[in-house]
Amino acid sequence: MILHQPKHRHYDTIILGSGPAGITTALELSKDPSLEIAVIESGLLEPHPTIQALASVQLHGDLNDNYFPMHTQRCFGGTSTIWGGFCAVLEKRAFAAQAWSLSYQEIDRWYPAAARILELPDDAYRLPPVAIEGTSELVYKPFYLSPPVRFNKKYHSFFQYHPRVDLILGTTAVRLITRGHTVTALELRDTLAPRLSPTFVSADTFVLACGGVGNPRLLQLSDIVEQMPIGLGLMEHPHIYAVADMYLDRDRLPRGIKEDPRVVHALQLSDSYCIENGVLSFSADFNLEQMTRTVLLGERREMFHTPVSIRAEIAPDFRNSVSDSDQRNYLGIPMPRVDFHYRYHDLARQSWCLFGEALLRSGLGRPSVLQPEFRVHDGGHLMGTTRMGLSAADSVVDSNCRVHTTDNLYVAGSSVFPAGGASNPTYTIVAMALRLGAHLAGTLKGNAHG
Amino acid sequence: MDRRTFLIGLSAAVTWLSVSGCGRLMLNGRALERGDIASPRTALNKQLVELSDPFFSDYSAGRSLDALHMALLYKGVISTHHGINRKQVICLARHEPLIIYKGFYYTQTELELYALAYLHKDRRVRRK
Repeated sequence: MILHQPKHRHYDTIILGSGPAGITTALELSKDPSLEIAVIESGLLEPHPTIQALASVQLHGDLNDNYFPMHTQRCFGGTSTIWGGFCAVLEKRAFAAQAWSLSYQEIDRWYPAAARILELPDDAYRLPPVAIEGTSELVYKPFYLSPPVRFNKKYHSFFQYHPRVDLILGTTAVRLITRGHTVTALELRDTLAPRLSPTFVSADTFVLACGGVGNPRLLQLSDIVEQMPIGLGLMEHPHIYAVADMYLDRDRLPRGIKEDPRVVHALQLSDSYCIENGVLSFSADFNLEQMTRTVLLGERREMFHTPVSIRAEIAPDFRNSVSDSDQRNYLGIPMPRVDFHYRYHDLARQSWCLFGEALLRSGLGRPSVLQPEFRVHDGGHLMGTTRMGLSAADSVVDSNCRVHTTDNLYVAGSSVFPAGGASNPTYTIVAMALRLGAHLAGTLKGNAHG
Repeated sequence: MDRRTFLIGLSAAVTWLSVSGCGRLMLNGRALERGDIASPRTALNKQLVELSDPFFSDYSAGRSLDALHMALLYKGVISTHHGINRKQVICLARHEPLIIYKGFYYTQTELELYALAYLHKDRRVRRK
């Protein structure tokens, strides 16, 4: 059911935010016929300029002035209303390096179901990074394009007609009410009528799915910080477009790769190479449009000549953060301050050199030098601000996405990523939201029976 | 033996040598290995012509064809018998520092080989 104000009732689970993470968690939870679920969205069915202003931040650093609120859509569907549809499974590097506190298989098993939600080709999740014969240093790891799925369009009727799932629009959560280690209720404000008295809704379990800024902000505003690094370690994916060229030996590329409008071709340094050499994941996109005959390692061959765009991983840096600003929004809530610097230029040159060496020495192709000057673009991927880990000393949520210091508060979305890899995060966000939904359903069922 | 018989015999010997390819060997003043009858030098020539590219003229400027030839022979990259040893080029690529030439990365051996190919073809053209 779609509502414009909350009911005075108790839910099994309340999910804050109706982007891909929130909706996917609700979809999975709704499979349990005993659960009553609410999804609370600050915005309306369509974007509203006044409400969108709530996504503004005080910005310091490298992100463009229009980054916010563009990449933090406050409306039903969240950022799925604007995303481009790029999907790729996460690299295993960070898991092997134990940056994550769960195994790769824990996420990997949810990719097939995530692929169905995102309407990816059947083989999108089955295709592992393809090894290239004759080298262990490079892999072919393509991106698949979702149509892109707009969650607001795709799941409107689900919310409209579902008897046990309420979508509550135009309602902004301003604070979590806690008793001891338990969150008992949410304080809510009418987004377009800030003078109305706040309302409160209660639930057994709460899920924050408000994005890389919204999730840490609500924890900070609710004083659920303690010693946890909430808001610290904000990550993005630096994108550098057409920053180099390369020739690729057509015959050395994996068989079967071809022009396909739903595939973006990419080569990566392999996970094992990255671990051995202590470098982060790095992806070089290429196309198959221009063929030429040129020399490579003593032979003239048919080669693809392609521009290269880089998409890369940066390490979590606690200087990149979400915190309090000295300004308030029209609801009277302190606006977030976002400090972010890529600090990527040197790493880009180092990574490209390693990639180029691997490319040429493997006989797969020839790289050009990186352009001497280049501009780093953002991907709209806000990650790492409620990072996953083993303890509250260095992380915010555990491997089940539960906030360490609470019994019943969970976080969905890429804010839990302790490492961002070099792949667009939506595919993994959806996979992990499915996993969270299944975990919560199991936990709540246990409670009901217990 | 009379003069007529001698001339017939000489003619037959020249014909045999010509057909068997030994004429070239004799003219080169050295013998080739058994079974290497098809002109190996032609194979290397052909490969160098195929690799030759004016793109590498700048790199070849000031370099000696003979010196490059000897250097690549010494590295086992080219052989009169077998032409270009591409496996050796790939093998050397794993250990050599990369060199930037006109905005792209090359191994040193590659550039030497392409310079040799350019100079080789350039000399052939001049001779014509």
